[in-house]
Amino acid sequence: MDPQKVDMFIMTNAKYFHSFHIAQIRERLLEIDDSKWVLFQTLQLKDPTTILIVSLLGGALGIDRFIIGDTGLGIGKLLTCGGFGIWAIIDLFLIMDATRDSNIVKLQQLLY
Amino acid sequence: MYALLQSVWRSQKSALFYWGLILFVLVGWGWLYWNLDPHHSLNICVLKNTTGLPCPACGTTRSLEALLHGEWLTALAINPLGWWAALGLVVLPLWLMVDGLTRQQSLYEWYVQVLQHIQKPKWAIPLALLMGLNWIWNIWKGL
Repeated sequence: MDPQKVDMFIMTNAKYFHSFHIAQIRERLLEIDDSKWVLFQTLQLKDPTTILIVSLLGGALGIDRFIIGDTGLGIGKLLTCGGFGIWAIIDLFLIMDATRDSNIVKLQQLLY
Repeated sequence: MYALLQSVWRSQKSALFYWGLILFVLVGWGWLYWNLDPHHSLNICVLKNTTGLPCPACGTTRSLEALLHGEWLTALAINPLGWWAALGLVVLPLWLMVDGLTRQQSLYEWYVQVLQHIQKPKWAIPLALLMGLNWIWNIWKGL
């Protein structure tokens, strides 16, 4: 892909990914054909900060985990009052990285 | 290379699943045992502590206690999830032991299959509705 387009994608979407993934994503995007540009533009990614707010408000019901696609963990949290109350608190610290993990999985489906 | 990374990630995921489940079963039984002492009572529900409203799973411990005293219908009336929790607390340790002894991953494979099914609207919508109704019932009962 055109380096300018790739850098634009990286700049607008950097907040969705771990910083240590960025270089790898950039490298891979440069190798990809231009025709896939639209697919990358329309990718539905979750904002870690938004999910953190959801986790604060609805973490005890597992809503944060449901939204990022961890349905199994969401059900686990929902059925145990937020993992006996403790998991809901621990998740406040884990959920942003978990969101970035789920975003990279989504991107990988297009990259490879 | 990518396939190798994927397989490593998958094996790590199942290991995490098993350790998480072992922890869950231990905490579950420990929590139940601790609660059987009538002097002990602790409200751990974040939602109830902050808003005063019960969450969909509130009352599961009381339901399990009723089950242990042989009061099946009382348990159902407190929270139907208690029956499922009891089933889980009995079946999961046995299944975990079988998987551990035979070096298989049958529980994990079953979990992945169930997850794929319940994410389809034909299962997800009725289940979410049931959970919602149970929640409304919990609030109405004032658990």
